[in-house]
Amino acid sequence: MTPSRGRLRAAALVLAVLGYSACGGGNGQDGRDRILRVPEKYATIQAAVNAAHPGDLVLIRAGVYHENVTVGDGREGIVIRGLDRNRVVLDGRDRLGDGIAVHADGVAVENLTVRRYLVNGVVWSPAGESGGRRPLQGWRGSYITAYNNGLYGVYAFGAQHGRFDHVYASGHPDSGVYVGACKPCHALVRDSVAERNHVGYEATNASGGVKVLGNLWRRNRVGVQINSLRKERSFPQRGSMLTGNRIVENQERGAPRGSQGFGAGVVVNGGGGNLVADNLVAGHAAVGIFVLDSPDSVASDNSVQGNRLNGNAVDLALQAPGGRSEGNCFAANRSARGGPKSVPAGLQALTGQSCQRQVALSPGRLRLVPAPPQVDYRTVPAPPPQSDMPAAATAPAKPAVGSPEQETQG
Amino acid sequence: MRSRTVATCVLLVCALLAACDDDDQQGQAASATAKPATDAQVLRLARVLASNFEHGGARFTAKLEVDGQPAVAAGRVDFRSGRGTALVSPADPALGPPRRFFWTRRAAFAQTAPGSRRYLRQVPDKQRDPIHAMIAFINLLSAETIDNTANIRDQAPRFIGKTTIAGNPVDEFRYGRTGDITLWILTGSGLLRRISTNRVPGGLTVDLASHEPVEIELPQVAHR
Repeated sequence: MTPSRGRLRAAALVLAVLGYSACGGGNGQDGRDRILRVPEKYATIQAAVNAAHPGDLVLIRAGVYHENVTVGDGREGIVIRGLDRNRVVLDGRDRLGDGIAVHADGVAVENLTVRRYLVNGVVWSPAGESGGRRPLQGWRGSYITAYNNGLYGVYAFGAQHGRFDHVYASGHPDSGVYVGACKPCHALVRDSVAERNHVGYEATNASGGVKVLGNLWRRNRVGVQINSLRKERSFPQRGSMLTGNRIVENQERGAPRGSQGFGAGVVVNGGGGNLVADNLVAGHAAVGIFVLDSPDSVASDNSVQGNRLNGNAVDLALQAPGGRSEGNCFAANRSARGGPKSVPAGLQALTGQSCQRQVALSPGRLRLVPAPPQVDYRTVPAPPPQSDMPAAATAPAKPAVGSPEQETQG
Repeated sequence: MRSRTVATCVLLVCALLAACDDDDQQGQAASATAKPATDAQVLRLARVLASNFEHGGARFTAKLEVDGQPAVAAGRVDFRSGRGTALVSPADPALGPPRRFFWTRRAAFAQTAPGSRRYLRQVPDKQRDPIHAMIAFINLLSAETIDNTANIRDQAPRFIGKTTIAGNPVDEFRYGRTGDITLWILTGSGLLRRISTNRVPGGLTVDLASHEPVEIELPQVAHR
């Protein structure tokens, strides 16, 4: 058996971090201290990042920092951590591009707030002049609060082997949390909350080993959107898992918009082989769970099962212009008012026993809800304080290496 | 000796570049010195479409190809409503008279005959109809939100160089995953001055001559 190139690179990163530690590497101050303190020793976060070596911890004291931080080559495996999630604030003042842009492998960002950037709060994407042809390896965003940024809150693009956990995101005209352009992704999103965004969680062309577990996606315009989009890298989308999430009341007129969708819990837009199971999907003016063909690809072999549905205008919908389901199946979903209401009618009876087989569909078209007017994302109210990462001052730095499930905090 | 020869060549190229006052010639010469776009330049690219939306609309001209023949269009677009109108003419007037089009986000309306007040509703077909392709492209020139810098970086953005269009200094950029998009952005304001694509058969170049609120009144028949 030959190890994958990604695994080899992850192993190399681990060795680099360990080797540097063994040689007494550090922040260059005394050869032992591996903690780079901002602002005590470094006036800015960027200055500390520039001085960091693999495995180092950039530890930031409470304060408001008006800078955009770039983590590039040579900074593999560093950890950037705030001492207080709610009082370590990176503030772009609606002038700077991204809050923290990571283009190096194995970098973790923890326990801080990013707000008012023109594009993204924190972004992981490959290095290189063309955005890179090789995926970034290893990433982690934990206990991050992102709000009122111009596009996304936290964003992993073209990155493999990573996770978001305990993220809070609000006030974004695209999604609060995003994973995309990776195949296989080996990504985990858990214990996070997104509200008052256009979309709570969005994944475009995110395939293979994507697990979205135990999150709360509420009061966005759309709760979850899984897309297959030809114009972006890693098309088509295949294979992600959305389980055990609470996806509720995603019809928030006070959320900014990036497109026209409104009032939907989960939208699988042209994706394939996805599992949407055991979620609570409730309170949507248009539809609870909606599987449809995108302009670029046919939605196929998606399995929607065991979800609890409540208070949706339509609980389940499948829209296939070809008039047949391409292996999509809806089974064992439960509605508080009896059998789930679906478009076309009887969707569970039609498809529930026919996973991965073609089934002719009766006609039916979902009635979409017109999108309310735009809301300026800069005016969305700031969120309340969020839970701190445990032992932020003392927990050792853990680079984002290994499988996302194995990475734990504290 | 060799370095002196190289230096001489560099001087010669510089002199030639300086002599090229014409926009297109300068653009070609500049492409030889294209550099990867910096983060600041990528951010400028990301803001272009949102700026168009913020300004409301534009007057434009376009160069396209219809039935294998060069054609030109002149019109106005309201980026906020998605409505527009253009008079499309063969570049060679001998090939036929101009014809007016209107459009919304969902339909195009073609003048039934040159000069007529009657319009025929058309279902958009950007794959087969070059005028519909132009309309679709123009409608994509604005966005309510900033563009995604990560996506732009993923499409190999290059800074081609500085040039002028109608006397205005512009910065020229090129990027694209499924075909090239070239943009000329006004140096001072950051507004889009010209955009060109090879994603449309025969190529398409759109010049935005103004950035201002525009209102489009559809012809009566077009409301049907």
